[in-house]
Amino acid sequence: MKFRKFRLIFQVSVCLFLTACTSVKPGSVKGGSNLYETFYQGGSTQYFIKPLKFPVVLKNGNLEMDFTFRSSGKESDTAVMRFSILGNEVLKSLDSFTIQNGLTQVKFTIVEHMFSESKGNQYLNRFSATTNLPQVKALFAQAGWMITLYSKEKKSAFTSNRKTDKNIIRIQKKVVAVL
Amino acid sequence: MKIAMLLGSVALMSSCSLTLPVNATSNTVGTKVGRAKATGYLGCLFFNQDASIRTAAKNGGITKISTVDIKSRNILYIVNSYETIVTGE
Repeated sequence: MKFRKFRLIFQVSVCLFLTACTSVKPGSVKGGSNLYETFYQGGSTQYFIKPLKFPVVLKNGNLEMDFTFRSSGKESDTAVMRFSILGNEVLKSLDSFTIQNGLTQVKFTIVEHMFSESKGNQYLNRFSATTNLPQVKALFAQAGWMITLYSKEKKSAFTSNRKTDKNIIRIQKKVVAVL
Repeated sequence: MKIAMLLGSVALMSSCSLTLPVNATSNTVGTKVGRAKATGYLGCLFFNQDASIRTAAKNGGITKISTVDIKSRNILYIVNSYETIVTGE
């Protein structure tokens, strides 16, 4: 009898735990992936690629970059990249940055500083840059990204790790391939 | 009877997912998107993370909010995450 009671409690607990794995998602957000969100725009779709992480080479810190773009099937479609740099320095401006993936290299010279703030013992610096959709497609064509920042004769490099590479490939298959 | 009770208990107890307030304005979905995420453990250990609308808007450079969506995720009551996604201009 005691065993039966225990078994019942166990079964209920297992069911409860299993059903607790579901997520709640408001109806205005479509997608279902942890990597991106899509927003219905009427004639086009807006995509938001959630931040991809790039650890810094040599020093402590990391860079997280997200992408927002609309796809209406035109070459003139623009994309906005926003990225946060977590490091030991306050960065108020960047001269330029490049993203290379082995197949292509894209250089961005107009970089807008959004804000800088302290986060624990480090500083979070956020920047924004604009590009076009064909360049985004070219970047996501291959994993193994290296992002290099240039500021006042300083150079910092961030590379994608294994998890980020997997995410880039998944985004290519699920989002970029259908644009 | 036992099975019915078991299923009933599960149905009642499994409604443990959480929907946080979602705001929307009459503005169309903006071209900017901002996101803030907080991940906690065991439902209480969040270590002062910030998943507020304010932070999401700040991350997206948004001054005029169009929509706010909040997504919560729970993995076996061990890992809990809250993600706020704001669109606007």
